[in-house]
Amino acid sequence: MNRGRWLFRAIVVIVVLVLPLLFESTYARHILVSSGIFILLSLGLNFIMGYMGQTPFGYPVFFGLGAYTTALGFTYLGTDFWTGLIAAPIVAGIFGFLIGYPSLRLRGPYFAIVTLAFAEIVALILNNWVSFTRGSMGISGIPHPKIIIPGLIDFTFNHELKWYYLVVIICAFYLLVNHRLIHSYAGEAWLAIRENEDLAEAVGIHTFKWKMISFVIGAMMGGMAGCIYAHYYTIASPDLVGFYYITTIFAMVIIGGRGTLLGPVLGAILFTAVPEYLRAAKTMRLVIFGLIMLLSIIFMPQGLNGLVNDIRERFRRR
Amino acid sequence: MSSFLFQKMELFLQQLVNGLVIGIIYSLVAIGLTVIYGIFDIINMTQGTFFMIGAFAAYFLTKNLGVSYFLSIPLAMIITGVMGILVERSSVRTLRGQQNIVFLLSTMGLMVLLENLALVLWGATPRQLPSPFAPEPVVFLGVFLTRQKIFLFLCATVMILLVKRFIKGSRLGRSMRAVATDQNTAALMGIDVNRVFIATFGIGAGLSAAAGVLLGPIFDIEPAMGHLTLIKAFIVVIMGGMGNITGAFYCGLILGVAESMGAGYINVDYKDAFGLIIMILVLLFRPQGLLGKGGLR
Amino acid sequence: MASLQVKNVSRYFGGVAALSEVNFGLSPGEIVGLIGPNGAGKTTLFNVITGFSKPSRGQVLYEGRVISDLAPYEIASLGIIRTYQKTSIFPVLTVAQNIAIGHHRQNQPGIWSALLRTQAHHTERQESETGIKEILDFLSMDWAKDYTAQNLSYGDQRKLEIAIALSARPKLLLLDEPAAGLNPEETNGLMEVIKKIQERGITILVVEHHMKLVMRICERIVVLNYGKKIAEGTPAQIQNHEEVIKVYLGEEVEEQT
Repeated sequence: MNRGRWLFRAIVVIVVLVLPLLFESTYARHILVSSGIFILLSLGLNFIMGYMGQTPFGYPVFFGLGAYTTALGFTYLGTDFWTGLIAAPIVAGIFGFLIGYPSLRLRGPYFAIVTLAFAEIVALILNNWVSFTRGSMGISGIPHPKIIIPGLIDFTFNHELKWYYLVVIICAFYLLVNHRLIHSYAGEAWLAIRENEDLAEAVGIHTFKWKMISFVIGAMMGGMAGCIYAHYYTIASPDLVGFYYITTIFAMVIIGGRGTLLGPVLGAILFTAVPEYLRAAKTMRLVIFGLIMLLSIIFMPQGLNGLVNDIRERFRRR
Repeated sequence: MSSFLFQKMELFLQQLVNGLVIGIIYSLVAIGLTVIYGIFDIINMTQGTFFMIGAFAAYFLTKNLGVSYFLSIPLAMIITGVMGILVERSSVRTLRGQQNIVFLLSTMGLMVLLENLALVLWGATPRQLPSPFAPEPVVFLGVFLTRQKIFLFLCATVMILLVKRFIKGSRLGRSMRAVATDQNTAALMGIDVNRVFIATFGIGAGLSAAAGVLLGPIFDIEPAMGHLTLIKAFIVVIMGGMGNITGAFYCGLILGVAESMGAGYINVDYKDAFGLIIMILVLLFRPQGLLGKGGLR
Repeated sequence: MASLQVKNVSRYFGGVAALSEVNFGLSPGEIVGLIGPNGAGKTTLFNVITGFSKPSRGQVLYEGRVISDLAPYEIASLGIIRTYQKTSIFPVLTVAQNIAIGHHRQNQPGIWSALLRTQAHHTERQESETGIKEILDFLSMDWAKDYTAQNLSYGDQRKLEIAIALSARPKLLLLDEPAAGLNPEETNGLMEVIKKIQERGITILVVEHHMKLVMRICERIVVLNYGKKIAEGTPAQIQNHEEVIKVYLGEEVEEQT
């Protein structure tokens, strides 16, 4: 049984490494990179929503903040991708702390709306403080990352293929972090808070502190994703905080299956690749997302991941 | 000197009046939201969508069927109300007994579906819902008011009073209040929870739709118009206390005026932020609402 | 020194006094019963002691220090652990996971240790395993280790509640109607468990309606009615107390199984 598992994992790793080479078209590779970025976002949201059990509607605010951190850093300080990779999660984390501190005192729906309110405020500022943020047009011309060691290496991430592997590495990093945190005493605390917050508090778990930690980590994940977005698409704009992203990321996590690691990954891949492949317009995409989101909540509360598990169970029973 | 003061007064009154007009629209939508939450503990994310559907229903009724504007109001309310009931019946009813988060997500899915369907069907270009009134403003105490705005305010106030009366006085209204207090006990006492459900969502959707039709001629209508209105309605409900109809009424007006004053005196670009900041403050320091206590009042 | 001291505690909800100048103490290691008709304020008192509710007047002291202004998790950290009237567990988790959560506050190595998988992390996991085993042994529940909590029988779920509370290493254990819904065999088992817990030196305060259990295992009994303490004494004293009999007339006849 164990050997089977390792074999399966090895196959997955090989497939992941080889995948982009199977597709010659730049467009297909672009879809892969795009899915990758959404995987990062879904994992981040899932960390807060799936494990701790809170629903932050305003989550993409961290995505936007991360993107703008690196964008503004480039514009005013001339920083590059690698600085942004560190600065973006830090800035997002700080905002996570600031937003989380008042919001996490509130339960369920109130928390959801307040985070949305914060997101709207940030969006308003990004749109209106034109002298600083360039307003609704956003910041463009953000450079691709480079690795330069004079005399030895001069490597620019200007090609979808190179980006793919970079994103894969970062996805692996996210998965590792997620996995380690969840399978530890910290993960138990979050589970306890999600399943029965009062009881958790009654046995000595400082629920507020743990909620804050989870929120800040989720925020940092969103922030880093934002940095990657900014340097890949070379722009940062206020719509990153907007409704399209809110809906899409939520749909991915819910339909994929929250509270698991595979779920958001599946959700992200499916809901980036399929609509792109079908060349569905953004609006039509959202109609279908909304419908599937609704149906999945009613009929498939464990998401696609639950479905996969059900199928696995049936196989095992044979 | 006195004319300077006069001007200041006029500006103030103008902002006040504008604020009241938009405020009562917020109240209408918020009342629907607060009634649904007060009775069923459900946060209805589609409340803004009903606002939009009402406006579009009136648009098509007046444009394509030649119905008069005044008639389109109740018709749009009925159409939206029925739609609201059907749609919630399928998604909300099937999820009875689950946690709040589930309803939050399901109504959100519904909202996304309906709003974008509207976008696909009707396009994003804003349209004009024509007003039956003459556009020349009426001037009163130096304040400019269109007849549409006056009509809007009167009509909305009447509706709110009627709803309040209905919930206080009628049998169905009392049933609603009973279910709000304790759903299980109410059911055991023989109250038809289904009827209450229909009434609640019908009122919620209907009021929202009315707001859309009333405001339609003043601002252009387009599929995304429900968005911001939903958030504003939330702010009002939080300010006034969940389930508090009178609270929603007054706080809607307060929000409208606050926004108007903020836009006029501080900064018009950040107008929407004022309400958000108020909401955050209320949630931090007085989460039960400025006027609030529990229950359906 | 009394371990727990409830001093003149009153708790108002609106105009209603759920608790009215309640005064009593617990000495280390004793088992005290808290009885009274429904609505007498027993669960409210539990909420006040454990910090889920703040007293409108009066104070609660533990080992000489005021705890009524502390957050629930802080009070739990002092060793005051409670169970709930309505079964409160982590339904979708396994029994082992349930108990592990109770064990949580014993060892908190920090986030970085989890991320970097340091020795501290591994030690903590080890200690958690050991702790879980010990509790399962103590309550003879080894067989249930991997069961999903919500699939347990009602009686076993209530046992799980106590297991979770015990794994939090309480010094003072507050049990809220632990016998509710148990059949006579399970009730006897419960009484033995409570005695075993006392043998470990844990002070116990039990709210119960099951009179036989209360009279059998409690050394002292406090009686509440309408938020006021109306009597305090040994089981014999309480059984013969005039006012208690008046209050319970009719109720006690049905409670005696």
